[in-house]
Amino acid sequence: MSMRPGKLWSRTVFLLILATIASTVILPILYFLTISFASNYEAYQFPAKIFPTFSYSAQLRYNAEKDSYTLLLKKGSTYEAVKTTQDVSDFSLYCKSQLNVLLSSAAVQELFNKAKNTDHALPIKLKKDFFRNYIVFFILAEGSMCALFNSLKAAGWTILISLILGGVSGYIMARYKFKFSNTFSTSLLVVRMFPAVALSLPLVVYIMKMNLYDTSFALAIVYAVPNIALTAWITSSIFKGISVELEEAAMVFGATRLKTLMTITFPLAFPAIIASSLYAFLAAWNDSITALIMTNNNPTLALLVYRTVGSSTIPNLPAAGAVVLLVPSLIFTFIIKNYINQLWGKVAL
Amino acid sequence: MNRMRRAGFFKSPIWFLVPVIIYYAAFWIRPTISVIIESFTDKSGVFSFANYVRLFSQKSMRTAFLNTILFTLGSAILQFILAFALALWLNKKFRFSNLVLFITLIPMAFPPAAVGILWKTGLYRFGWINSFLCSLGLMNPANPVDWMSFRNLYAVILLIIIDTWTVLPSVMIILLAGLQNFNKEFEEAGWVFGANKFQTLKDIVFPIMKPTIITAMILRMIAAVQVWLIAVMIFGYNVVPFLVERIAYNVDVITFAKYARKDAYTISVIVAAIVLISVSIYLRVSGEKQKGGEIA
Repeated sequence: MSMRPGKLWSRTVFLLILATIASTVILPILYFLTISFASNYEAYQFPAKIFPTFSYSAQLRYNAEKDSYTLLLKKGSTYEAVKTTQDVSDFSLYCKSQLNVLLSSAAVQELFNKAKNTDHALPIKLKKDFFRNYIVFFILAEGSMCALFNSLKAAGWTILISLILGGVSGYIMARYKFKFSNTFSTSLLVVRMFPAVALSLPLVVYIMKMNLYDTSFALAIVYAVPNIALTAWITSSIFKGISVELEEAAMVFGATRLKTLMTITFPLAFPAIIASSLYAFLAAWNDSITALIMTNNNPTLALLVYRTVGSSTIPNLPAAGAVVLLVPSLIFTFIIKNYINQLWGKVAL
Repeated sequence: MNRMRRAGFFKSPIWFLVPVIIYYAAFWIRPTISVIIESFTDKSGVFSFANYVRLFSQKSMRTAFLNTILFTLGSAILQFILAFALALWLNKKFRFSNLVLFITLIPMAFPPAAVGILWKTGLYRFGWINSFLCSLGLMNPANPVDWMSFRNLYAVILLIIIDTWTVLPSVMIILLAGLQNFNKEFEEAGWVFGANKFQTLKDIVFPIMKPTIITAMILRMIAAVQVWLIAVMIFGYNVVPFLVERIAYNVDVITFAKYARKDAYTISVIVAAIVLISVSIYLRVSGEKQKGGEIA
């Protein structure tokens, strides 16, 4: 195939850019996922692996003079001794806590007997409990599940408050012209961008008076402040796009105002309502500064993940927490992404 | 409409806005006023600038101010250049451009706490960044760099790069939406009159895109002023002070110190003031175009 040099050149540059983008996005995420599945032993290995492992190639050696057993793990082309013990439960505990391998005492005893009866090192394959970090983080560690539920509750309340108050304002802004409508929509924009930190600090005092300190509902009160405004903006632009004639037609046929809203307007505005709920969810789910200020014993998941990073030296457990934090965020962001295009492309806000 | 007017003032739809107005009065205006009052009074409630004077006499606070400015400007400039280049490139529509768009958007979905951990697992001595550089042969495995020992300007630059990794897509998508609305014929007209690519970009694309660009940049700067979590997750408190990091430090670490609360209040007023100034610039600019403005 003959190509003009110019074309070849631009093609090379093109592929180079493509490779750079792909690797700067995908490589960190791959390494990060792998660390969230790594055992403590693996987390200390250097260089780190890109892909997670499912098992270890290992050897078990019997030391006759001391009546002890040595576990060797494959590292490169050689085997590295990682644990020497005489005790079955000690061995089993090491496998569980450092290697994420679950072996019952009976299974360990069986391996020991086998190793004793062979004169060279016994080759074995240790199967990793793949989701061990996740189980430890969420089920065995106290409070993580509560934190997850707190995050969900806070997000739920935020959606509810923003939809009711913001949706109504959006509808009114779209359908009626009133004296202060410009002032009102401008102040909504200002609220939307106002930093939550500046609200959370003084609000703590009121929240304590209302006996709501350290609850998800109190968090939702703060999260809802910018989100009501956002919901109003998004829904009003959609309501503006739904023609008044359609509503009037329904009323001509005898539907009440409420019935028209329920059967004509809401179904048409449904995508906008979903999009603004997802925005509200993400705002609550991703926040950490408000939760830091307004909670004490009932943190949200994002705050808990942040705290575990501070307290642990190896990042594999918090990484597992962060992956769980990431999943809903990832899904919802990509659902909204389509609305972003729609909102900015066709319906200029 | 006529029917409504006859029904009188009390049936006016504006009454439906009352709950929102009450909500904002209670949970926005009231706390905002009280935080401003707190920041301008001393312990006994007398008006004074003592809080501001005390704050700016602290070295860490001055560093925080400087770092926040550096971080905001640095990340805004870097992200604008990269995002605009990326948006221009992705706007060309090539094979798999949608797939590439999808991949570039992924980091946007990362919650700040996840971004903090992702980069922390990379930056420590035996982390994945060093592993990757070693596997490419760019680093000697016996002597890895400890990225987390970076301080001052280097630490801020590192944080700018991390921040860019996660927010670049959200800047890019706004610019891309602007470019997609952009009428290709303007650009073609430029070419007809003999302008080269750079000239059309400078004289045609930039001026038309200006409101979109300003929207994207102001939104970015408002978020950048409030940076704290990635800095604290990667370096810990006090290493790279930022304005909101100082608030978190006062609330989280020295909770019961004598001036912790007053300091936190005062810094949050400063942050809010910076944000409000940016918003007003934004409103003026978007007002020029007779458009409500785009919000993200």
